[in-house]
This record gives sequence, C-alpha cells and structure tokens, in this order.
Amino acid sequence: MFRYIFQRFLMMIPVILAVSFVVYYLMDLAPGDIVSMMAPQDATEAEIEMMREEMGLSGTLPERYLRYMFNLLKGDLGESLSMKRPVIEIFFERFPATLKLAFGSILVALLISVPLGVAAATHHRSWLDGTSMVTAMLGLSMPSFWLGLLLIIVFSLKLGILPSGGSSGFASIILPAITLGAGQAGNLTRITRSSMLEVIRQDYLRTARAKGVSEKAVIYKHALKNALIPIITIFGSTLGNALGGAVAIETVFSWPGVGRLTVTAINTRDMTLATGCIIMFTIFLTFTLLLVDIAYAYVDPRIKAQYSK
Amino acid sequence: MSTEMKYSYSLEELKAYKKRSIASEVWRNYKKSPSAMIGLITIGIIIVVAIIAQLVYNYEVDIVQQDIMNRLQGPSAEHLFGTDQYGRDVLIRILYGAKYSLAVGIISVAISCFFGSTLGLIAGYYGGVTENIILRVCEVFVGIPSVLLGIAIMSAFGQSLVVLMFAIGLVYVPMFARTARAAVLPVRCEEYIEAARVSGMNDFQIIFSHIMPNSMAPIIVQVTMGVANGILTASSLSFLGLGVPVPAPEWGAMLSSGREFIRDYGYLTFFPGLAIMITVLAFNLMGDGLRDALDPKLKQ
Repeated sequence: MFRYIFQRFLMMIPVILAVSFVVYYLMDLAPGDIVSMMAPQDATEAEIEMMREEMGLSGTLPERYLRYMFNLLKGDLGESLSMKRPVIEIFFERFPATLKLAFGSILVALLISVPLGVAAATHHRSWLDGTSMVTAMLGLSMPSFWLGLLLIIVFSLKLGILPSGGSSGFASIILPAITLGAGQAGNLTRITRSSMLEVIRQDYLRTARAKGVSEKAVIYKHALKNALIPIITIFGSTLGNALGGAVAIETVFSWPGVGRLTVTAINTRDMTLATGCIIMFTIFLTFTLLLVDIAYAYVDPRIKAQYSK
Repeated sequence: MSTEMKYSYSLEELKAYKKRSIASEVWRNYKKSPSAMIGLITIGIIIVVAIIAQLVYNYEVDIVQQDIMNRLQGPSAEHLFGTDQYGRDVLIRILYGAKYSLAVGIISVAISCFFGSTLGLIAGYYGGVTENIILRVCEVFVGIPSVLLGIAIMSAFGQSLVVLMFAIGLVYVPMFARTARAAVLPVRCEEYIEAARVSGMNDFQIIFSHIMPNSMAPIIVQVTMGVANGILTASSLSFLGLGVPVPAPEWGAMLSSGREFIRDYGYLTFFPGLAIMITVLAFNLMGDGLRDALDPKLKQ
C-alpha cells in the first residue's frame, strides 16, 4: 500500500512538469506582451529590454521555460508579473475561498442527491423514481451560471433575503454553493440510484430482512453503506469540477476565488501567475484523486486486499 | 411464411443481415423509451429551426442591426421574448443563434472523437509502451481543469468560432481516448482478431474492420453526451467573454450581455439560458436512450 502511494507521488512529478510545459507555451502564444503593456508610453527600445531582463523574461522561449522549470522543481513558482508578489502567496490568499465554495457545493450536492437517489431506488419505477430522475437530468443539463443568475433574480433582487455577491459571512456562500452543487447533485443522484439498485438485490440484504432488521435500518445501514462506495470514487472528480468548473460561478457571484484570479491572469497576460495557478490546481486535483483512491481502499476491504497482495 | 427454409447464405447476404439487424435492434430498443424519443425529436426540431432561421433572417438586418427606439421592451405579442438593450428581437436572435451551439457542440465532438478514439484504439490494440505514452499524455490534459484549459487555448489562438471548436475538441480528447481504449481491451483478445491476423490482414485493417465496429457502443454514447458537455463548456466560455465574439447571437454571450440588466430585465438572461438548457437536455436524453438501447443488459 505505501509503496503504491509512493509510486503515485513520483508519478505526479512528470505530469506536473508536462502541465507546466503545455500551459507555459500556450500562454506564450497569446498575442500581447505584458512588458510592452506595462512599460511607460515613451519608453525606448532599450528600456523595454531592461524591463524584460528584470522580469526574468529575456531569452528565447525554451531558455525561459527551462529557467521556469528548474525553479518549479525547487518549489518556486516565481513572482506575479503584474502584482510583483510571489505567485504562491497570491494563490494561497485566494484558495480558501475556492475551497470553501467547493466543499459547500459538495455538501449541498450530497444533501440533495443521497436522499433523492435512495428514494428513487427504493421506489423503483414509481412516480418518485421518475421525478427524481427528471430533476437530476435538469440539474445536469442546466448551465450553472444561468442557475446562479436565476437564483440572484429570485432571492436577492425580488425577495431580498440573500446577498447576490461578495464573500461576507455565511449568507453569501449559500447561493454560490447551491448553484455549483445543483449540477453535481444531478450526477450524484443518478449514481446513488444505480448503485443502490445494485446493492438492493444482494443476498445480505435479504438475510438482514429475514433476521428481522427494520426496513429503515436495512436501507440506511446495510444498503446505503455499500452503495456509497462508488460515490466516493466520483468524489474526486466532483471536487475537481468544483475547483476548476467554478470559474463562471465565481464570476457571477464575484466570489474571490482562484478561478477568477486565473482568468484575470490569463487576460492580463500575467504568465507566471496564470501558469502557477493552473499548476497548483493540477497538484491539488492529482492529490485529491490519490486521497480518494486511498479512502476507497480503506472503505472497501475487498480493494484493500488487492493492494496488500 | 414460405415453407422452404434457406440453409445457405452468401457472404454478402450474411453481412447485409448482420448490419441491418444491429441497427434495427438498437432502433427498436431506442423507440421504447419515451424520454429518448423526446430527446431525439427535440434535437430534430432545433436543427430544423436553426436551418430555417438562416434562410429567413438576414444577419445584418435582423440579428445585428440596432433599433434604439425599441430597446428593452418586455415580452409582448410583437416581440415574444422582448427586445435587448439595442432593440433587437431576442426570440429571433435565439433562433438564429441555435447554429452556434449546434455547430460548436457537434464539430468539437467530431474533433475530439476522431483524435481521441484513434489514440484510444491504438493504445488498446498495441498495448505496452505505446499505450503507456498515450495514457500519460492524456493524464496531463485531464489534470488541467477543462474550462481553464479552454480559456488558455482561446487566449493563445484568438477568439473565433473555429478556435472555440478546436479548444473544446482538444479538451475532450483524453475522455474519448480512455473510453475507446477501455472498449478495445475486452475485444483485443477475441479469437476473431487472431483469425483476422492469421488470414493476413494488417493492423490497420484489423483495427478498422474488426476492433472498431465491436467497440463502438460506448463511443457512440460518449459522442451524444460529449455534444451536451461541449455546448455547456462553449456557453460558459462565451459567458466569460472568451467564446464567439460579439455581436454574434451566441446564447452564452447573449446571457452575459443581458446580465447588466438583470435587475429590471430578467428575461434577457432567462431565455438564452433556457435555450441552452433545452438543447443540452435533449442531447443528454438521447445519450441515455442510446446507452440503454445499445446495451439492454444494463437496463435490467
């Protein structure tokens, strides 16, 4: 098991280097150059060249990338070109907001999808099943930023009970979390339902019923516990979506997260900040996937047995 | 029914029989699901509407031209969905704009399906080092959140419809590669592949005439779901101002420009979003129906 985790850690290094290569080169292709954008209008050619030197942007693209890569290997993401501060510092200033929103949305998604999915499975082929599936499908098909705007219209503008943006206190996270959570709830409901349907037919449930366990305990203790295993697997990708897919929602609610920071960095051609943010995203994503794999093994003894072999 | 049974079939007859029966079987299963049929019919209607709108409306006159006298009029008999801040009819713009979402969704999926499936088929068929390299490269692209990768590509190559299609196409290549590879794995060791090799077929022929048809089902499902995803991603890029450039009536962009007027003219955000949702929903329903139809075992 530990060997496996160690291997996965080592595997992360080439992936992260490759991501940095792709993003660095993409950012370089973008038209417009931050040095000439920032230089004073009457700057001479030589002065611009000097600024370039100071910002660490001199030399050919491969030279610059290699320099960036070696710094990256040392754990240094460089300095933001527009804010003149270490990228890592700026990232971690904004990251808690993104993380809060991500976990808030997952909480919303679980609160909606688990009861809905269980109800759909236990009332298979009834109107309850049908309604839950239609709801889930609508959640999946809705553009999240649209749902966010509709919620703002209803709860902020018409009813005036919740703030439409910013991040001051608990009230301000409710709408963004619901918005982001609704889409994920669609997917999770469908998965909960199908894995419940699978578990419900197992022999051990019949045994539990036969020995007189109440129906409620059969469903919530015996069945749901086993049905939750596939839900853990997609927890990783759900969190990934919440982290990266939140860009539009962060914009709608002017949420001070990393997604919006990255978009601004890309738009202002702040290469180091944009590349750094995307690399940090990737690290967190790979890390989460690894954690999910480990959690998966601990929850399901059958899988743990495979690793120890 | 004729009393005379036919015992011998020519190879051509057998081939024709096999082709007809797979397609018709899938269709028979597909028809059984009302929601799948709703999806298919809705997609049909959207396509027809998109085509008619191109023929009836003139881009310069009906879609882009401003009419400030009539700006921001709420829904009425004359303008069913109202008019926007430039006095343009929202309904006409939405109908005309259907082509952007459809084009981006369908062409981007065609791109990702072509490259992704080819890579996946190669990876699954050859295995070993080739497979490892392809999977590792995919891992890199999966690691980058798709919207951010899309934004980076859009800003690198400039904003246009074509770039948007390629950006979204590229973003979903790894998904197809993985699906195709997973679909090839169980087929790879079948005896008929061995037989084909012995009979002198080269790898290319084997992949295209034996492996591909037998691992198509999951890819077909992925295609319909991919169109839905592509439309959603495209609309969020446009919403962020990085998709189809204005004044084209792309739905995400319309929504984004209506946002300014959200306080008093909510319909400007409501209708374009509704159009996106209906289109995406239709493709999702079709994808679900196809999955059930292609694999009846799953449904039970």
